[in-house]
Amino acid sequence: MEKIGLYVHIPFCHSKCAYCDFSSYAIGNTQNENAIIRYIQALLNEMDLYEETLRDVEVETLFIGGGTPTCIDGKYIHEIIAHLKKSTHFSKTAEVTIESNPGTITNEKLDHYLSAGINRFSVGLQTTDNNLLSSIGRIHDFNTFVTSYRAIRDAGIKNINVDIMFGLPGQTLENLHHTLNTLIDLSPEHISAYALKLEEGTPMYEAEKKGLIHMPDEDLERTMYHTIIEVLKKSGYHQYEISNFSKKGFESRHNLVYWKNKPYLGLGLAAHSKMKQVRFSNETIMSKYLEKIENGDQPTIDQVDISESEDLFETIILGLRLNEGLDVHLINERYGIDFYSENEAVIMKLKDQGLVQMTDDNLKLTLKGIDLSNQVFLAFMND
Amino acid sequence: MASERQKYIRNFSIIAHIDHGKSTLADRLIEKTGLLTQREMKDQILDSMDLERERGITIKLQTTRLVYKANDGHEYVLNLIDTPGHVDFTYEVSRSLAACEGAVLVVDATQGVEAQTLANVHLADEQGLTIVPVLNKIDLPSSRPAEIIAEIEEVIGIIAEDAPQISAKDGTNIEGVLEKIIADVPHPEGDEDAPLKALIFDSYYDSYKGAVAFVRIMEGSVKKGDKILMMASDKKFEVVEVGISVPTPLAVPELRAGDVGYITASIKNVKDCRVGDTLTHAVKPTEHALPGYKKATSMVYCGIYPAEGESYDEIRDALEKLQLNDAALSFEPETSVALGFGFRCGFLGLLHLEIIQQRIDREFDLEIIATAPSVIYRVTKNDGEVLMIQNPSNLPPLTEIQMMEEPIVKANIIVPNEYVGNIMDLCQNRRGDMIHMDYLDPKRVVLHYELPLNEVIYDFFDALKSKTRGYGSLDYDFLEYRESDLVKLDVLLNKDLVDAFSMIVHRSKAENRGRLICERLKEVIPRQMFVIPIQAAVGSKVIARETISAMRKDVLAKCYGGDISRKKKLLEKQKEGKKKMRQLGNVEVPQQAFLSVLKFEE
Repeated sequence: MEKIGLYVHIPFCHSKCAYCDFSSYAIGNTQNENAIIRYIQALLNEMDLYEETLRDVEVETLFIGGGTPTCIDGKYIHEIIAHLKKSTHFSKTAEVTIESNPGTITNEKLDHYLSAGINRFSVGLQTTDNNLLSSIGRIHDFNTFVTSYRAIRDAGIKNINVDIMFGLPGQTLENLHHTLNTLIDLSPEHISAYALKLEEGTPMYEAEKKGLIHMPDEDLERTMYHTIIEVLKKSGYHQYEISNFSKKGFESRHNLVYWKNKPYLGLGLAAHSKMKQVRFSNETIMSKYLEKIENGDQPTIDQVDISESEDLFETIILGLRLNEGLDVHLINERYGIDFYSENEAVIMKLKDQGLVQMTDDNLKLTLKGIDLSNQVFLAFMND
Repeated sequence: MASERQKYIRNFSIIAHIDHGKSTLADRLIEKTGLLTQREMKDQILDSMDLERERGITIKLQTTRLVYKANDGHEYVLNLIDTPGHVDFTYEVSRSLAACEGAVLVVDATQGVEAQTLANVHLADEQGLTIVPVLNKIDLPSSRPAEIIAEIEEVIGIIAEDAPQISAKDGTNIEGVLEKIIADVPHPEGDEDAPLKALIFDSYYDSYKGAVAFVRIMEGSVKKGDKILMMASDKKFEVVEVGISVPTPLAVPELRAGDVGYITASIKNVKDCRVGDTLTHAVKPTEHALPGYKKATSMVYCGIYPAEGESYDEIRDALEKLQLNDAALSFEPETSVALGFGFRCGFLGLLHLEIIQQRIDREFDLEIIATAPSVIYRVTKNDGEVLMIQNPSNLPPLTEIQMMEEPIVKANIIVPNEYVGNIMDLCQNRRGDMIHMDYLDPKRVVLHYELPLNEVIYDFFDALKSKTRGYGSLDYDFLEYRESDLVKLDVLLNKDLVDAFSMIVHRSKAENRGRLICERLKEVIPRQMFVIPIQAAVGSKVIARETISAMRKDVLAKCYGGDISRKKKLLEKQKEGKKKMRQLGNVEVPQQAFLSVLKFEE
């Protein structure tokens, strides 16, 4: 049976962060319960729409992301997972992750999550500096994070990821070191470190355009990134993807599905899927998503058949994000090609530029290659 | 002795400074004479090319026949011969004027006499035309007719007190203009039975009829089937059709002395019916050609190359098609190390150059790269050989050069007096010599300068406009070649000479220009995977340098399920951008880099 990853989108947050361009709706503290109930019902209905598809696959990983899935009542999350388990082949060893933000987690919710089978938490910290946190629109301070983190640990969760960010306006190297050291003391199993990218239409993008905030220059930003790699390495976190670090055996199985270009199904508002060489995605406007589901229609808006050459390209650009690199034998087998000889000129040029490293079995990015990875991907792109 | 017929003909042009309302008046005259109903009028029908309408200037001539019943009860034929309105087209203007007996001088009653007003009056004077002044824009509250009348009388030296005061925009007193033309402009003369003598004052290419010649018949007559001879180009043809322009072509049985009309004769190329040439009968030719014929000479040259992804052949086709209608455009193939195969093109002036570049873009949808414009330098080698250099790359090594000369122009610049200081600084900075300065009125000054043409072709006009808040006007004419201390300024990108950036400049300008080019290139060339030195050099001496540091970051931090399609789109966009870049050695250079050598005012 084919193994897939499942993604479920919960598009609600207490408030939207200043850099966020995801599909999410701020519900504040008032908790517009009716809207949530209606959305959860739609999600359950959407699962039923995939009844046939789900009959032939095994769910290896489940990721409940957002938004902030932990900002809604725990019973809904429980309900979603219970429904999934009923309607799919849900692996007994599945990795089940929920994304959360500090301050949204209560013991009552934790009970729901654990009894539903959640075994991994991803917590957004971003930085330990309270001033920076408020400047990017986060609703929590560092202490709130620690409280939430401890609560998750105390509930018995043995696999926690913490998200941090670098390249924030006003962030210093010193500040970054402090964030890293504090985090290392807490000893999460997994750390994701993202460079801030200002997306058009977000408040921070506008502020930067108006000159109200200043992004760190390229050199400082790269120094921060290299610092993160070094410091984490010394503390037992190995880098396995451009932005991801973990203790041995705690790599995110769900995210590896994406990077290894394996099938996944996304449920909920704006969720993306790739099943059997077809990429498709859902409505991004809540009212339309709900309307379609309630009419018994698929909520998809976009559907693209992936040709074999596109699929190969995707496998390359996704696989190169991983530190283990591309498994050349696997590619040769999957696409019936001789990858090295077909791309000899491109690879040699990239090697000369110091962007890639090659062995008989793998092609991987060097550190410089990571910094300039788009250039590497472009080199593999067909004209 | 004029024939009875000729007494009821008036041939005239309208001359004016740009924006003083020439085209609007032409429209009103056409409307008033009932040629078209108001509903049929497209605004400014004489300016038929979009580009002309956009810039508010006339590039290609059009001519039209009006019929007007005057107050004296007679019906008159008025031939309105349009003239191009820019300094680059002085020769064409002079030929149009030579086809007339009079010129209506339109002066903006709010602005007064401007540089081109003077230049055009001067041309009309040379042709011995009667000038009929008209004050336009009388509807504007800021108009000052009394002052402007005094100015015209003082500066131009013609009587203007009874000049019709009109508003071409509102159609006020258009009849006054028509009556004044009939009263003041002499009717044509010329023996209708003499051998044919006709002046070609315009031509255009029609894909069915071939080249169409617009003519003023000076003597004799012409009809279908006549064998004709172009006296300067010495080409013979048989007339297929004669006609008049109303302004659409209308065939007539014959054209006689005093008439203005067109002739078609299966002429394959406009080059064979050159503006200024005399058209006569092949069998019974006139004795002497009309005076004043000049072959159009290019003053400014630049290289035109296909942009990345465009084809050389298509550019050649476009240039050939443009040339069918524009005898002043010249081109020949050339090769650039940096840009590959392209063309060295010659233009009457900078405006002409800009117009051609834009027409290639708009009418043919082709992207081109134009190299820095150059004038023609006269180079005398040690062995006495004289070379005319239009392409900086062809300059011989300095050691072989005995003397270099550059073209100098005589420029008239009219500015409000508060900007005189700015303009004197500008001209000083452009190596100009002031000859003298006159007050047109208490507020306006005309500055007479001698300027090297190579200083004028680099954004001089833009600088003039910006330093006078748009009030300055310029007009120039070739004067002579003068010896000058000139050097070739080269640009090296990543240590490789880029010939497309080379230019010939005065030695005193080399360092400043070199520094500016390096700075601009640094701004427009994106960071690449290696450090790129940019150097400006004269000979082997580097006089300016900048460095583009290597790209340090080009990475997307997050790439999860929903990001993949987006990521691919971003990469595709990046790839498209890369494709538009020009590969110079290892360096990818965007198109706009080639523009950075065109402007020098900071």
